[in-house]
Amino acid sequence: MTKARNLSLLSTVEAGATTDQTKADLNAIGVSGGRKNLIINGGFDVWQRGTSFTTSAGYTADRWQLQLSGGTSTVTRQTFTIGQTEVPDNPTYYLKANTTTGNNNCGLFHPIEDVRNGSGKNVTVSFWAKGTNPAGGVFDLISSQRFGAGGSSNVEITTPLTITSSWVKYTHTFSLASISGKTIGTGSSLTLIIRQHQNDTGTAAWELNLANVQVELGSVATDFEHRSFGEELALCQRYFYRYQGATQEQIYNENNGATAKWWFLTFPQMRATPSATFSSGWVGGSIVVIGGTINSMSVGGASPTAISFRVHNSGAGGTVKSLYHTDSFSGDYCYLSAEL
Amino acid sequence: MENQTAWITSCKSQDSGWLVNGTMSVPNDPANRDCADVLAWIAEGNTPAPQYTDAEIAANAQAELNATSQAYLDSTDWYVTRHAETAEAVPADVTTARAAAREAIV
Repeated sequence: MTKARNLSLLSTVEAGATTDQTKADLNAIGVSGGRKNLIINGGFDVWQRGTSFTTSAGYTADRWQLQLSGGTSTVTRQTFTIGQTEVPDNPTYYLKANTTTGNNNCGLFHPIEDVRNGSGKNVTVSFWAKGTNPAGGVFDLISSQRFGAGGSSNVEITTPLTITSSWVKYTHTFSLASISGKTIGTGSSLTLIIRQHQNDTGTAAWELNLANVQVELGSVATDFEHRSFGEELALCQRYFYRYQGATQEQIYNENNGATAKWWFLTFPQMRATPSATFSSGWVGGSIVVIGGTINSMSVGGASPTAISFRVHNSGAGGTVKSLYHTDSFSGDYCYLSAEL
Repeated sequence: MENQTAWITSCKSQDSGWLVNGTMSVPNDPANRDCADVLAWIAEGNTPAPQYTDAEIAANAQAELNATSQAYLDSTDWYVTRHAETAEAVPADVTTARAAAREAIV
């Protein structure tokens, strides 16, 4: 078959792609639009913050938030056995939420930026899962249209989810409400939630393992969209960016005061001006020639693409308005968060 | 996400935004969810601590004075060396200023 004939066939099929079934046919023959998965890091490949988490309201795998709501849970990155066939397409990792003490609303949240996504349409959730169920026997699978700070009230659709001890692919189509007449505030989202039912206050342990999570427009669950690690990481970095320091990080000596040294960091544009934290090793070092000890860092000015940090340093050597360097940031991390 | 304030145990001003819980620098950008929490925390009647305490301001000023004074001494040492080698007197104003600089350094 020639290339021209292939393209001709493709055009014919695309022209008729007006129904969900036809879209399924497209998927069956390997035709799928790019960026169909509204979930970022649905394959759990990106873990910039680490690989084990217990903190409530904190993010775990990139874009995946743990809400404990009085429960106790540990979220970890798990590695599939190479060559396993239970979950197709050879995913590398999956997420495991090992909840030793359950409670209502305890579970995982994934905010998809902008409540406009999917509004007034069908969206289909698909994922692989295994584990054990909460005390009430089921999880809640929820689509939550969140209108952000200053916006309209949340609109949620809930459906029960019962999992088994073996990997199974689950799919569900939500018919999302229109946002006509609503007010969209700051930080709106379409949030996917898998959690213990809000009226289930049982404390029994449960375990949820998730792999290859996808949310797409339409009422058909197509094959999981594989994106390269670089693409997925770049998508994650709109919300969270981990900078790893190196040697020869430049420090500007504005004057000899203890708060007048500056370190400047630029990064790919984030959703909003990010919050900043540092790993423990970031302070305690010194600046070459200036001397002293770096005691802390604070933000002087910030934007979604850059931050200037005051370097609080006890040294007073060097010449004012000159550039020096430190090697003490090497291998340590600066974490920037612009999460929803 | 809804604003939550329970996680904020301390908050003090920075040049831009706030330092929360001693470790997180939060920008003054309402689109940042941490900022929204801080603004809600302030709306509850809380007040961020000032960026620097009086002691920190004083220590910073002394550090600058120390550095300025030391720099003056360094830049005028050659008068003293010349006096030792040639017996040419150090100008009186320089002698006075060097004494003041030595006195200023703590």
